[in-house]
Amino acid sequence: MNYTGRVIPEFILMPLSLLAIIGFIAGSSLVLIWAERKVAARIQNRVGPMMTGPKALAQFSMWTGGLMQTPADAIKLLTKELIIPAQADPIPFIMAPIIIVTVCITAFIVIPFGPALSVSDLNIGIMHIVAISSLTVLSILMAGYSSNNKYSLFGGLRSAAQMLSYEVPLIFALLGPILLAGTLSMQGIVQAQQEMGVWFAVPSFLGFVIYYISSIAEVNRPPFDIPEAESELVAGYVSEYSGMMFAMFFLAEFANMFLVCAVAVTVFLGGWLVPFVDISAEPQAWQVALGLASFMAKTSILVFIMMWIRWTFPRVRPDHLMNLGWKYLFPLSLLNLILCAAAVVIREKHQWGGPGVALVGLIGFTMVIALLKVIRPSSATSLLKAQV
Amino acid sequence: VATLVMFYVLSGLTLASALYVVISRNLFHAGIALIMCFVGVAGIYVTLATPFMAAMQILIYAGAIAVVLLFGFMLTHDLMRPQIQSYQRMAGFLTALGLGLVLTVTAVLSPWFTLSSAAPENAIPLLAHGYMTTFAVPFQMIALLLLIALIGAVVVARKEEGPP
Repeated sequence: MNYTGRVIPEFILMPLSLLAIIGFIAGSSLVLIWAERKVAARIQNRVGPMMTGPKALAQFSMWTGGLMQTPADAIKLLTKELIIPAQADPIPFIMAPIIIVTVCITAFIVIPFGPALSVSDLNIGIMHIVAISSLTVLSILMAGYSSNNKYSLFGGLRSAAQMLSYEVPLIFALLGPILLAGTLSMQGIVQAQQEMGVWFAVPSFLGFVIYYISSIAEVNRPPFDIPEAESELVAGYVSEYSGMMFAMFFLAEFANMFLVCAVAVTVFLGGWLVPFVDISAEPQAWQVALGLASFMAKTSILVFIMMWIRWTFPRVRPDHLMNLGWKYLFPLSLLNLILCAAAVVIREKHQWGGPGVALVGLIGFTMVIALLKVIRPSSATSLLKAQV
Repeated sequence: VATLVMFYVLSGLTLASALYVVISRNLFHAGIALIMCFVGVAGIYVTLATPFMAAMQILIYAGAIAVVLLFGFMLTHDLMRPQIQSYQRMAGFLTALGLGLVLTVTAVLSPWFTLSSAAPENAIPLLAHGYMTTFAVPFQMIALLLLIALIGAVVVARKEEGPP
């Protein structure tokens, strides 16, 4: 947090900011789990958890009921016994949940929550997140292997295959905005969008869509939740976990969901920039507050859309998943890279930079529509065949 | 001083996990130790002020190669029992010792290039510039090599269908 102006020495500030991040992850997970249950309930025409928390609020509306449900669940999980199966391999079994949460916390340190409001603005920013997040799959493999349970093993294997495949379009979709920004630093990417006057979702709309789809697959959420498909694999790699170790996987899942949405907001939707308003003239405290509010609002919208998708679409079949990743998203992400490179050249070499960038965005938008048109008939016919 | 301490801690971690990779009887544990070794090397890159190399090390070695290795182990049967038996312990030990000696002697004797000034704060643009100008040919050659490896892997893995 640079804006404190080096009043607080590094060795005190660093642990404090890490604690803040851990607190933020735990707090946001509590809120997100509650929100997920409420969104699910609304979509399925139920009311969701209503019994915990203030009674008066619960009578007011379904959205204010059951506010204390997740803290209550968390306390219940904390007090439960940690069971390590007799045939399990104990060291990887215990290490897996620790690694997944550590990786998540480490990835959070470069997220720019507001102007100058990130724990550390590394100049490899976005590569740091991508690299560290790639270790998540290690934890899942360890959990799958050490449980000594064939469902866990299959869950781990499927997850590894899926995450390795979708990492490729994910990284390639991020390359376009990196080209446009000319930097890897997260704060730098936001500032580049401020200078350009347009969010990178406009010239790189295709990249945004690809990133969003791939990131849903990366965090193993439905409709890409094949690794933990209940109807096939019990609970996949978390089958044998109980109590707090299970809770840590759950925490990491929600924190990762927030993380990928935060990265999407930073890279494609202008990070902490407030839409249509220039806040750079305001006093610094105001800038930070407004930026933080804007960032959280945008991230919440993306997280909400992820929940919406989860409760709307049926699960994708594994071969369809691989087809989508390798045959559609990956080539399109290469196309997005070319489009972004074109946008960079147009902006630097020609007078008509603005319309050129918009034109590039339009091509990307058309490709997204075309993608939807191409995928739709094939999946519909295969569905028909499966029924016959 | 802090950097030096970090360097020794990370080196120790790297060496210990590398040793465990070799002596472990359990293939999966060896794989995990290998990843720890890679992460330790990434940490050493950080102490050497090359964070980009560290990120690449984790992304490519720990996050992709080692994970694919583990993925392969998990497809083998009889997973939970110690599976490795070494038939050439003495030969392996002697080879490792010889290689270690040669590398140590070379490292001690060779004159090392020392940086005249401090490393630049943000080296990534310089790195990219180097790849595109001075080292363009080696860079393309590596790309070609990887492409050949990729095609080779597909050819080896592909099932023969119909008459060859």
